[in-house]
Amino acid sequence: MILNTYAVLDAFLSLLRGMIGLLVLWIGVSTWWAWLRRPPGPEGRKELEDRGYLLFLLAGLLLALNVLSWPVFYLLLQSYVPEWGDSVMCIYGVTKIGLGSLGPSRFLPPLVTALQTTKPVLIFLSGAWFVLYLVNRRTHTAPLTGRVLLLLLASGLLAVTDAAAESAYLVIPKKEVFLSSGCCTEAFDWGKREVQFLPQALVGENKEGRLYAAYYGSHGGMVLALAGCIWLCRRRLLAVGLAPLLLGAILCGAVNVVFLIEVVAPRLLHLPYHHCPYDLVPRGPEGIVSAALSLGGSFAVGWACVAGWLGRDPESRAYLPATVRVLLRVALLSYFWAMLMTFVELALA
Amino acid sequence: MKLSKASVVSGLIGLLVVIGLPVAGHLARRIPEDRCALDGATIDPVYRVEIVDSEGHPHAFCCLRCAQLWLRRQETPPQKITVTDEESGEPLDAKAAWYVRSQRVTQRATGNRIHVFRDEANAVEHAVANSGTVLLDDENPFR
Repeated sequence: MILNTYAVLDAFLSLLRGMIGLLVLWIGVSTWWAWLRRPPGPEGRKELEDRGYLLFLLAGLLLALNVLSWPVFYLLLQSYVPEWGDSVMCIYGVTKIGLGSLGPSRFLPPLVTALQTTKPVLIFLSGAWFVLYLVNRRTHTAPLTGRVLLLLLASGLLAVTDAAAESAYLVIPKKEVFLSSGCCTEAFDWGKREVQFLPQALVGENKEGRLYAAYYGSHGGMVLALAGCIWLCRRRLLAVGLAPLLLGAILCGAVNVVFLIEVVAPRLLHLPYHHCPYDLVPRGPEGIVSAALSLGGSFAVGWACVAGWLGRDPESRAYLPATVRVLLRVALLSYFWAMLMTFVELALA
Repeated sequence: MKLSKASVVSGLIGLLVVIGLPVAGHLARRIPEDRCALDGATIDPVYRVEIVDSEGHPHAFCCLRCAQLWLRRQETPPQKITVTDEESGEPLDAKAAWYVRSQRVTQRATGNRIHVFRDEANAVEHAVANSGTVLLDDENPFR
């Protein structure tokens, strides 16, 4: 185990998330059971509310900790880079430590890959629970409680798994293990870039120009589409209209990742042939912030869909459009700010 | 549509952060000198490679591997390639050097195993000591 400030902070966060996640699961299951057997009418709701106060407070705390754990995890990986001297240049090298090992270190690469995948999923799931919880809280008889609890249990389970995996990653010995393959230069810069990440037929000769068009086109298009949808949702919710927005948000997410690797990283690092996004953590963090803003926009569209589709009920009909509108407005601002920030970064680079 | 004061203030703060952060990052960032032109790694003088491109601009690299990767992306041939003799640490023309591929890695981050020597005797000595092979003319990394 490599012990430094970030390792201690990460271990504390993981322990806290694990414990709170287990508590959320335990109280969540008992609340679910009580909800299934509740007496009808306001009495049932009162009983459920009494059980729910602690549960939703803990779930709110878990949500905040899940969000915090994402950047802390990358800061931890970055803090490990100097431990291997010139073998490892950036986080990419740290993620490959343990490859080819026969000891317990062989679990490190799959653990780190799993953690990199679960963290955004966990934040989306926790946010989806929170949005649905806010909708349900405004109703008289809490008709969405079943769905709220289902999302809560799913995010609680994922939080516990994520915390356990992170603790295991921290504890497994790694300093004595060295890279069996090269660092990011070999992974990101080898061969023809277009062939590696994008089909040549799709981008053609003017790769960078097309990527600029794709990034600003998809994000600008989403800003316009969101503005239109917000205007249309003034009086009633257009649940069908959310589906194309969700597709647009997924497209924006994909374009955002490719643009970060192919354009933003080389420009901000001042290394035209180096496409490692991990290098941006210490040497160009604003590139990560703008990508995170765009991702936040996609998440907000997803949460609006969760509210619009899973929050539909005769009791929530009156104020559901307003809730969806707020989320779409957050998405609009996130995409717009991401575009603006990327523009300023690239103009200055 | 009427905007509340809080919305306007938070919007302005957001805008300030979104523009201010890249500006602050740009001002705070120092581009370190003498870093590898391909991946930004620190250059060990013993393994330094320098390429003068077709327009006369010099580019330094941390190892032969990075120099090779960089060269593959150039449309026009370079004017000059200078490598470093591992024995003396002195620069020499890439065409005049002896190259050895051995078990010893020069730059772990790229996994480069090709070593450069001015004299054939030093190249053979290194190859024998590190289970390597002296590269023939057609295997020259900058052929």
